[in-house]
Amino acid sequence: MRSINTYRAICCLTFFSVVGIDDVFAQDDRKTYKAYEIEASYIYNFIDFVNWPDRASRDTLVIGILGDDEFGNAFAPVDGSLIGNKILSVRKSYRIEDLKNCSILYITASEASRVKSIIETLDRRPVLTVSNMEGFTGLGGMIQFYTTELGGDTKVRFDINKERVDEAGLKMSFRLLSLAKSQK
Amino acid sequence: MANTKLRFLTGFFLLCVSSKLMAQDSTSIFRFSIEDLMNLSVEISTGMKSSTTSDEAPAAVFVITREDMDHMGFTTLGEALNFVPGFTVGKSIQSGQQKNIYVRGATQSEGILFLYNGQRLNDGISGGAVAFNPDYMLDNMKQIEVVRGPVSSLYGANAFVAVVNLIPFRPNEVKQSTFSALVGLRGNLYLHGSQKLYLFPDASAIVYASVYGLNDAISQRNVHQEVLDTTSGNFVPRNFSGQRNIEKTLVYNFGTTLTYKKIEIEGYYNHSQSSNHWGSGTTFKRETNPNEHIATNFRIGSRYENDFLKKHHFTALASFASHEAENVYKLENFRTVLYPGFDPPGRVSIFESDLGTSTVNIESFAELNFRKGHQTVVGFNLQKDFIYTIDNSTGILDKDGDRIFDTVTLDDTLDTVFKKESRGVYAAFLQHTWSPWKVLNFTGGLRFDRYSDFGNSINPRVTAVYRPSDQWTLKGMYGTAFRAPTFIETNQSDFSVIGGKRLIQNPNLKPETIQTIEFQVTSKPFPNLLLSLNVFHNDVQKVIRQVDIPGVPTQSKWKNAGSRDWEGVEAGIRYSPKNWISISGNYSYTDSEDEKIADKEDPVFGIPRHALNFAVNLNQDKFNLNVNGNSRFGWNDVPALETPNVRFERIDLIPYTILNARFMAKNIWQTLTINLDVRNVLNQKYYFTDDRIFVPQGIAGNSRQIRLGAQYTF
Repeated sequence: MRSINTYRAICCLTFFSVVGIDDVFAQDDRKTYKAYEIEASYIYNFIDFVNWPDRASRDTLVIGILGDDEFGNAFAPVDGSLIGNKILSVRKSYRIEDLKNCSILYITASEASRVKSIIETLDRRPVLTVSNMEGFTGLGGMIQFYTTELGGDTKVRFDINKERVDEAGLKMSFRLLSLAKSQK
Repeated sequence: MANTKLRFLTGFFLLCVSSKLMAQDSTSIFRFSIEDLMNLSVEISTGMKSSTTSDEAPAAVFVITREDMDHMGFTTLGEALNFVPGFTVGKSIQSGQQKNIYVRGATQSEGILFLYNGQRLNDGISGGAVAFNPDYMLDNMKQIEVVRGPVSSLYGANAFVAVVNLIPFRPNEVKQSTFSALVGLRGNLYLHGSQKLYLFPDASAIVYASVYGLNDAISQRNVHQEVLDTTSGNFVPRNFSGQRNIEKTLVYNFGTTLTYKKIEIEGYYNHSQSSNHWGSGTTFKRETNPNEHIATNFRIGSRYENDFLKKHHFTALASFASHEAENVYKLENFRTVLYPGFDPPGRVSIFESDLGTSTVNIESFAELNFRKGHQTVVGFNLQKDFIYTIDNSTGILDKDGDRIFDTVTLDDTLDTVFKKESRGVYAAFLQHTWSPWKVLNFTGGLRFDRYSDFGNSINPRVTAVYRPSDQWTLKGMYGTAFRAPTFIETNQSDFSVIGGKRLIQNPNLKPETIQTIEFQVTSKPFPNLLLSLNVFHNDVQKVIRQVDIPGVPTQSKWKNAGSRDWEGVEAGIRYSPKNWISISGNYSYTDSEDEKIADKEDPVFGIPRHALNFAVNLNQDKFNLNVNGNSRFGWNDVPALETPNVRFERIDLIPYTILNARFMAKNIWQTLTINLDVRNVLNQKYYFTDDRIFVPQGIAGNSRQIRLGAQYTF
């Protein structure tokens, strides 16, 4: 009787082990992501490379998404997480008034017609403005994502409007600036 | 002892499970450094019902991006596809601006499955997607993805030699308004406008409209024949020279794409009107265009996509398309092939037709990711094709045997009608990708199709992708596919005949089948250099073709007869030595054989064995200069042919090189961009035709086109 149970146990454990072994070998083989996922991760990374003048006084770092939500659940893994001793929070709204106090403001393409007025509304608040709209940095935005072909694949890269970053009193690391395609 | 084993296995089991738990965080994209992010690749849909990059897709994928289209000056799909390895695209001589697309050793467009945002465009009557749409304008397109090779295991019929997926912009991917215009010589006109609308929260739409016009004429090759003199019984020479091919086209379309949360609805209406003449008649001198082709196409489609249970993805598609086409072919063109003795009074129509067809398509599939390293795509597809309009007549049928043509409406009594028919298709498919190791994955797929007319077709496909490093990718692919007989082949009797033979339909046709084996190697020795090499062999069986009927010299019939095979090599390069310069190109070699009867092989005539495409792009902030071109050489010539009444000479097809250039001055005022295009800079004439049959087959290209354009977005 005992031997039968042992046999069953061995079979069950072998089965589950194989399932697990498969996972060990499989690893995370995903090398490709949707453009908005990559942009979300960039935005998350920017926090390490930008110093906000009022960072020390804030308990929360807020990433605001203005307009049609292009990110879906992309920010879900980090929304509410701790960065140092700050809580990261992601907020979405169609009203700039709701997002004026963000640390990072992502302006989606649905707001293309009013980018200038949004940036004017922010005045010189220390808000890092980001978008993937063409011509965004030319309109006073700070970081603009774009896609480019390299070696047959499409990559997401970014431009920086350093002048605008400085005007807003943000300090941006040299490492980040050096990775941008161009700085104005 | 047993306890020891149990403890060991339990420990091992827990170790494996814990590794899974620990892996959770490491799978997040937020683990990447900013430098890593710069090297991540953006997914494309690849036309394989799951997202990946062209490197990892279980197929040979070629992507034409919006940037490619803008830089190279592609305004229509035909221009863009001509740059794809293995593709040769020209205007159909038969209908003016419609496209003939040759892929590898295949010369029929119905072997290509066209998708619009993943949904079928091919119609039931022609089997292809260019009979009712002369071409597709690209202003509203974000990307074109081309899968080379058979993919019936996912898409069913017509994914025979390639799948072309047109990806339009969604409202959230465009600016508020875009206007573009191109005007040029030879009646060249291209206008496009799009406007984004915000309907209510989470709902937005793009509305767009385009107009395209062209009026072109190119010289036609001289034609030499020998015709039977019925009085002497001898063949006498007949020569046609100085002929020109005249073509005049106007196309307009308008449409919309609407998104509401996860739902997309798109629809468009397309109207095209082209007229031409083949100009090979003996007495025809006027530059009017007696042949007319008018086509309309209306389509509405919906798409719903959503994630479920966090890691799975569901897609539901539905579409309705309606196509209608009127064709009129006049007599002058027929004189080259008409047997003597028939001398009709004045100009009469060889053939007039008004055909309409519609298609309803419903498809749903899920991408399931139950376990790491495993991905399953499972789905079903329902389709119904209808013929709803039939009106055929001819003015060249000698109904009463007095050797004078009569104008006859084709009806059931003559057995020449395009019978009103419908066809239902039910299909289910399954594809599984297994990645046992990081560097290796296997994909196996199977699709079952049941057609209400010819029965079942089952098509498998297996692929192995090996990526030993980021620099190398090796793929091996095997699969089968089928091309369903078209309604033309199963239901229409017509006059596509040599020397006056009638062509009889065959409702008992079986699908053509193709078997492929293909290998691809891609290498990225440096991040800015991509090299690729494909080697393929395709074997086509049950070829649907016109076959003479023994004992009935005046008729031929559609039949499954003989085989074709082709093999070849395709090599490609993309190189960007600096940010401001990029070089790309590809070369294809195809060797094809056609075996109409057992043990007698001839090359598939009228296709090029060598094809070369190239582009050099210089890009600065304020300007972009692109020089691109394509060269086709080593054509398989059209062999000589002798009928009881006419002897046709061999047609030698000449090599050509088309060179195009586009200069863009960017953002000269706000977002205003000015373009200067010169297409066919060398003004190469090419007009390759086999005009020995009812309507001449083959392709033609445009003369030199100079166009000045502007684009403004805000």
